[in-house]
Amino acid sequence: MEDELEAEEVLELILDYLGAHKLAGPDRTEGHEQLLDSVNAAIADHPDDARKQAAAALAVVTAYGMLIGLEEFEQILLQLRRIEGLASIRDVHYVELGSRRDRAVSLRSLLSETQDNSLDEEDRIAIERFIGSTLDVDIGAPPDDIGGGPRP
Amino acid sequence: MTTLSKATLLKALQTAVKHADKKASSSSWAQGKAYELKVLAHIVGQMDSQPGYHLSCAPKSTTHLTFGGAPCKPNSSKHDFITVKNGSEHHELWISVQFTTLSYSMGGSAAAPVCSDLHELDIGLFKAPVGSNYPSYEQVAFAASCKAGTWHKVQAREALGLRRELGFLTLDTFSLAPWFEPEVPTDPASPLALYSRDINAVKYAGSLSSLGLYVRHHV
Repeated sequence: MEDELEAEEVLELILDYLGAHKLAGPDRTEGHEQLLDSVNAAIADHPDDARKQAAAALAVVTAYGMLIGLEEFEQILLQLRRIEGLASIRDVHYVELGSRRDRAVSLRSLLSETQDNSLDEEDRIAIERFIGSTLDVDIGAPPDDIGGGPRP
Repeated sequence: MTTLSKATLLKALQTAVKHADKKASSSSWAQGKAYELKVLAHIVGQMDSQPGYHLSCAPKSTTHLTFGGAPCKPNSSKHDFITVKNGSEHHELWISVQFTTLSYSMGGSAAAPVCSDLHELDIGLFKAPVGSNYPSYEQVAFAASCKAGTWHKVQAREALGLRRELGFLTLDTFSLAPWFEPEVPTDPASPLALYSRDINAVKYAGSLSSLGLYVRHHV
């Protein structure tokens, strides 16, 4: 299909897209520079293999697309509430101890209301399948089992 | 040969560029802490699912947990920690606590540890009671480093340095954290986990485990 890209085309489009944005001059941001640097570093891990370069670059792009928002934060708290004594926690504070006064920051107050992730489940599965098959890793297995030893 | 839809790739690129600026801003710190918390929840879930394990916490506030926001000493009067009991074994799970290193111990100095003698563990499981001084590397049962951003090779090198300071390389030994890995080739047998959201981390998972460093992709 015309809309379906092979690995080499994926790599080309990623570099074109980020490069085009990079050339936007005054609009170029530090964050964009970091994204491009990360993509280039991932590509450098696979010299002479455009397919793996495409998968590695796409993995970086995908990682950048993931932000933890309040919805996911609630899921994390739900897991922690199973611990005895934590049934009613609703936030996590981080404290830096000062000589005069401690400074506390609420994590909830710093997270966005929405996840702001435009990728739906179908997109994510397609991307994971592409990366998994191209990098020869089994993303279908539980993530923590990748590269791990035998389970107890 | 696997292909990818152009529309999906463009959506991924648009989202990445949109988030890139947020990640470069102060929210980067919050994302790092949120990911660390996510890994903590995953780890306590792993322990809690093991027969015989019992986890509890006595937080300072009923509405929120309080952790150190920067590398710190264990401070039970101001920071919360999770108690892990398994039969007669008692451990404490702390966030951002620094430990005194193997090299500090080998140096034999009676002086208080300085910055090069201390390293922070994003998540550290220590033999109880931890007390109020910096715990030593010999008290560490499990350690985790959490990387919310993209994978960089320097993260593996950094973790290898941390691994070096957590013990000697040896033959496989029964792990101090069997719920994570049954055997670890270090003395003390404390596994060091490096969690990353980026699937590129998986490329480094293989041989590093032979040094007691376990790279895990956790989204």
